[in-house]
Amino acid sequence: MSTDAEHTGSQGRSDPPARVTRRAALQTAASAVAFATAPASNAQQTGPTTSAAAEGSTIRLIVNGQPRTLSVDPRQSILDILRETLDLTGTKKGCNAGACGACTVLLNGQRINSCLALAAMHDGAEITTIEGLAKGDDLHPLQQAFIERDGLQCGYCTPGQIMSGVACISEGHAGSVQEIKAWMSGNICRCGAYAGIVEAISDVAKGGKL
Amino acid sequence: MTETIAYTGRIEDERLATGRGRYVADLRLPRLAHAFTVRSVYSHAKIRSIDTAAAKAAPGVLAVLTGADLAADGIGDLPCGVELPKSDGQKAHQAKRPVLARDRVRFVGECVVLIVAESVEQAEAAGELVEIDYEPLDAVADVEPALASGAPAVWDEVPDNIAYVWKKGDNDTFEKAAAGAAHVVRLTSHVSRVTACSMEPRGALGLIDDEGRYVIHASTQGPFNMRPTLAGLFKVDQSKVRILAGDVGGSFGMKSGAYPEDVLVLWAAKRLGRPVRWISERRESFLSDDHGRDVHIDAELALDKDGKILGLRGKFDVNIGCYLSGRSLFMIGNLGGIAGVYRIPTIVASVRGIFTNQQTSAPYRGAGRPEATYAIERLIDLAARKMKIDPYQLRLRNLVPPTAMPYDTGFTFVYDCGEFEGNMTGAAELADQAGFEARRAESAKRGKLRGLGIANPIEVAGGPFAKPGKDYSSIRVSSDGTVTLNTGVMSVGQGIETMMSYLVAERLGVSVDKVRYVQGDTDLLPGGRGNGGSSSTGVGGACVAITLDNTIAKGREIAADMLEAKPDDIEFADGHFRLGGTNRAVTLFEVAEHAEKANDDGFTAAGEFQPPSVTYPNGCHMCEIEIDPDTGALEIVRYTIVEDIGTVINPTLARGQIHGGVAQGVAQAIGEKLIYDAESAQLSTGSFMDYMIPRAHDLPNINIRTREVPTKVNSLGAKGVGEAGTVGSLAATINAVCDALSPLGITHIEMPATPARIWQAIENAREAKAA
Ligand code: FES
Ligand code: FES
Repeated sequence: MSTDAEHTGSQGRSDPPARVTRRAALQTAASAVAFATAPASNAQQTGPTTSAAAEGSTIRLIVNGQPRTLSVDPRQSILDILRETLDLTGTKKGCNAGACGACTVLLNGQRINSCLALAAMHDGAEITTIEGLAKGDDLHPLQQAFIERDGLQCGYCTPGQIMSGVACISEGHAGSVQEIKAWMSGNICRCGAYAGIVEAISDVAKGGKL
Repeated sequence: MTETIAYTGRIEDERLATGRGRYVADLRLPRLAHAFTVRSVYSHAKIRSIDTAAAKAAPGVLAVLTGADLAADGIGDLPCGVELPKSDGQKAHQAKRPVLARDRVRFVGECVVLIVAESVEQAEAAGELVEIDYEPLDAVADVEPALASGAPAVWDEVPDNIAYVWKKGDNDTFEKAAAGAAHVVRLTSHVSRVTACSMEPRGALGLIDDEGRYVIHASTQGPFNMRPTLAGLFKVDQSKVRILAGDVGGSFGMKSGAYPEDVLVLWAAKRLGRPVRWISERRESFLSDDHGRDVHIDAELALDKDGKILGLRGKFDVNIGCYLSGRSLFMIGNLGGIAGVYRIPTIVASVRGIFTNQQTSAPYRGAGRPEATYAIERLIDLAARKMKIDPYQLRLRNLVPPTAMPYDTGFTFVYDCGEFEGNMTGAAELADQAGFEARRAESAKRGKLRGLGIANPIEVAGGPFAKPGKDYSSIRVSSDGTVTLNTGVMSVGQGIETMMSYLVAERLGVSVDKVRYVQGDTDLLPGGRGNGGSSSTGVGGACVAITLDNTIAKGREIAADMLEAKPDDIEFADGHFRLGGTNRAVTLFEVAEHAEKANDDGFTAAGEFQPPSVTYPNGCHMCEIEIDPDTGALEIVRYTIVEDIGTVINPTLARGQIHGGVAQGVAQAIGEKLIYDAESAQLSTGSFMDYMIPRAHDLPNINIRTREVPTKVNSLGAKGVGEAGTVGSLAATINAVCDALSPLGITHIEMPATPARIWQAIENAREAKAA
């Protein structure tokens, strides 16, 4: 079990101090985020970080295999670009603060919380969203496994869970139930479908179907 | 019924697992404008003035509106309707929730100004420019300070902050029972304030359609409840209002009423002639979603020397927040559960609603049921501890036996059926209760404290108890080979689309993919229950069963016409209407074709169902935990449930509901709590970083076994399942923690039993021992 995961859990569980300072809250946030987006630093290395922070810069992205040229506001997150500019509404906004995982997508193959990733920082990146996972009518094995294992209820966390699960497996973090639980702890499911989520990821990891 | 169709997963899942769900935020409409609300930063203040000039001039802004504009347009406050008395015996003050606060704000997060702009960002930026001049007032952040003498009044009309009082039972009888009792144990405890935290935040999109009707796409579990409220506020006939609910990303009771923002988007749409959408940000959700629970319990249980229960008295103070409506009364309607599964000769209880400067509270998964079960199940454990009787045995001694059914608890509820001992023995076996002491000893060797907690929940479902709500459904069989089902109940994640589609497919002998399921459209049915009160199967499913009967009866008439026979001679099986004893038959869809040619209605049927009474899902939960006394860290090592939900219609969906319910109950017991600053009544736990939402590693594996004791209340025999997991898990988990800590002389710990709190309790106990 990762110590990061323990940390995230116990932070969330303990009574907050009587007065939470903004700083303390941000530090807590940072630790949770650092875990939830463990690969983000890698992503930044692989994604060419350009000097595209100027007003209305133009960036190129490959989204679900399709090249896109977009003019973006420097404040826009990848989540907002996906949902509002590209109308790819499968990726969900649950908190816009890196704390729930609903917005998880793959950026150059690594999972990130897209709500925290500024689009302008990722010129040239390749993004996979839930819409890009199936091959035509054939669902991705993890989508299929979520359905077979009853890994969803309301479905709102599901796109994020599936994208995160895909990465969890490819990272080699799906070796045991405990490991899956720890490495999926950045993704909240309020409906409590965790048992099915963990089973689905475990099935696919074992089956080596990825 | 024809042969059961093989279950291959939920129908809605393919849509949801590929990102094609249709939540409110996913809708795309031309000319859509975006709403943002400026919210009160004070928990209690007078509004001296609001300056909107700068905001109005900001880029992209279409409208900046205040309570004064609402009043000018003749739109009033959300209704209250509570008839109960307050402490002076007069009818409750109608403390109505305004759509936008006018001269006073009463909680942090209350809507004060509405801004509509071309984009969300523009609306939000304009929000920064609104100047509100507040005069802060003293606030009350909890029940105790609200009841203190001289406390600030949330409403000037209610100086003691007691919104309503309710009583049942005879206090003298209880006093007599207590006087003659060998033991009286007392529980004073707080069932913490929590929030539903649906992963999909609240949201609504309002528009005016071509006929001038008010149409709202809402993230709601109660479209049919919302319609009269909105029609009333806009002073139009209900037929002029249409509520549409698409996919809803979790709700748990919280999305069951009309909220101010629902009114705002429709009002703005009307004023601007454009569709307007508002989507809650997460920080707004924490502040402005109706909160749940927050019940202060003071209860006593009297027992004779053998552990036979003689009487129960409970006082419940509910922190209802600052506004009052029918939703503030959840503790009353479901309080009957305090009788538990036990014979209790006398029960007396009272409930008071207390105003505080917090967001209004409302039903949250279980809505008073978990609180009631927590009271009785904690009391039994306290008594067992005091009398040195095994808690399992003490429960057994007091159970209502199956032979006593139907059983009148003497306190509101009459249980129709149930085999409570069977639940307990089943759970004991599944949880390997016999091996527990050995496991405890093994934990002790490792320096750990192990505990086992039991709870026997029983809850009312498909209510309200006094008059169960009605559900409606309709079916159209089309010549194109499809069957369309409209239901008045709806799914907000429970898989009801699947459950209902299978009911239809099995009964009509068609494949499941031919069934089109439609929910959440108030235009299609006279009414409907929406989601809530564990009623989707027991009432909604039973209603669909009736509609299916009506469909087949109608089909027999049409087929009789086609086959030139009498309807009585027509049999229906496997999708065919057959003239008895002959080979002459027509298919379901041929009947539809014939009907469509004959009349405009085609082959349609409708049905309605008002259950004659409620149902009582019940069960036994066993929670086993281990505590590290050096850190207070707690691990739930196993969780076992035997649940009697009546006939199980779909085991996979039932399991999911129980899992989810347990997750929410356990999380409240060990971590979730909304904490308000005592002085300022500001929310300190307003994000996922500060508020514990259970994650995968926080939850145990749960062993579930269902034990079917079918109810006769509905044709399916189903009792309901949505709340079952939550109702027992608060009590079972806290009982387990207390059991683990009991060797140290600790008798009770308040929820949430966080590591910090457990560690402190252990330290205190050690110090007390040393002293
Ligand atoms: S929306 Fe990105 S983590 Fe919650
Ligand atoms: S399925 Fe509802 S939040 Fe996960």
